[in-house]
Amino acid sequence: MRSALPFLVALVILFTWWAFSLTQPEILLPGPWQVLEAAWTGRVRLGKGLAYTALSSLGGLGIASLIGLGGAALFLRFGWLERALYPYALFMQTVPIIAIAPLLVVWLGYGISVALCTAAIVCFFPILTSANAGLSSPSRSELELLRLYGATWTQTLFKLRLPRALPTVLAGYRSAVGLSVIGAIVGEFVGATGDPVSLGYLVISSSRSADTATTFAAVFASAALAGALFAIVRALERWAIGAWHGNS
Amino acid sequence: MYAVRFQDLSFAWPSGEALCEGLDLVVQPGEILALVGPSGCGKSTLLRLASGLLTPTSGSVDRPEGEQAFVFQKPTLLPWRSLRENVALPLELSGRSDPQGVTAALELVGLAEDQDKLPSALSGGMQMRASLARALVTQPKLMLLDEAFSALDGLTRKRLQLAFLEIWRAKGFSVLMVTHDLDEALWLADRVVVLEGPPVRIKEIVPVDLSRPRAREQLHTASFGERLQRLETLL
Repeated sequence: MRSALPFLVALVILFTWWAFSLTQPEILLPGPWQVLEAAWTGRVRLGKGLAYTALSSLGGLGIASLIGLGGAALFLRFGWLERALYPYALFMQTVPIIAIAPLLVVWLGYGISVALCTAAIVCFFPILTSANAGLSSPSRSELELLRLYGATWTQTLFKLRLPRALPTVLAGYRSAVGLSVIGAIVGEFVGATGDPVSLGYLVISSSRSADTATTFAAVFASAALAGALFAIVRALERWAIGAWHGNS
Repeated sequence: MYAVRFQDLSFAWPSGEALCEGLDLVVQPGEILALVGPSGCGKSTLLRLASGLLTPTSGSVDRPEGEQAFVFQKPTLLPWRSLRENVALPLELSGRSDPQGVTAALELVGLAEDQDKLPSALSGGMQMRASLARALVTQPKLMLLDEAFSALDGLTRKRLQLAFLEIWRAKGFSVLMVTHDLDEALWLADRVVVLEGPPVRIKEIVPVDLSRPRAREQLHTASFGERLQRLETLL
């Protein structure tokens, strides 16, 4: 019964949506069938858009991982660097990405680079903070144990800090993957040309042409992309925690 | 000859709070020396000074060349490594490999059968044994125990103490141990150092002239009771 609850909620939402859509013109609120029809008709463009946005999100996530994980390791090694840079990392997190995106178009021009940047900017902070917390999580005894046996900084990092940090880092990635899709789509809103097509471009172009059903289809596709990335991270988390605690 | 020697040892935290001032103490080779004292008097700090984890503010901690091992209050096993990998860690960190030595250390503590298990699959007592095996794998000359048996239930603690005494007899290393358990201190040690502080000072050194090998029955003799009473009075 408990596992069926989300499906029941989904059915209730679909039914309510369908019932409400009957009272509204399609341009304001298309029904579920009209959205499915639009998705099927435009499946090629939607599929290409999904692939392009996935590429932007994953690319942004990759850049954010390099900066976030590398930054956390540097913060750990050089405390002064953390004190100097952390406030600016926090500041970047507080600036609305939609305000930065047009500037990125000015600096980088139209194309995938804007979406890569916006995706990286919004998702690097949870990666940095989770890695920072995870790498600092070994207990005093664990650190003393490695010191007693003469472990170098690199040995402590690879044999203790990184494995200890893994569950915390993956929890950070759970937030980061969703944000990377949001960041990529915001970047595509302002920086995409429509060739190749992306989900962000589809949302903007279909809403401008009053094709609300296609807008809905693109929104659902982006949600599905975020959901799929989230599921991959959850699977990795389960694997990591399984390796951590064994089958006992 | 000594296993570890504190000479005019002083230690203060960066805040200036002195934990130890001008302390002299010698652990003889092959001896088990127990440190007892009220909580916060600086027993564990002395152990960390002996291990080199802390550096004295003045005075010296002298140790002859040779391996030393530290057993913490908690097993401190890395949960993602099997028992075998945990025990091999000290060797691995110094770029050595000795699979036979690892097996021998696990056999000494009776865990050879469980070497492929993760720590989470073991009881608290077995985890403590694994921690002991990790300490033994480097063939230490000096073993430092920081309330190593205190987290175990009564029966497991007694069994592990007995196992430890047998290993100590076979290997002949020196032991400097911190404990809150006066029974444990008297039963395991050759001398019990009663501390007070901070700053930590030696109040009295109580020699334990119970015969070896020791048996649990000695805990119920009049002589053991007298020493226990003496320690209780001092504390």
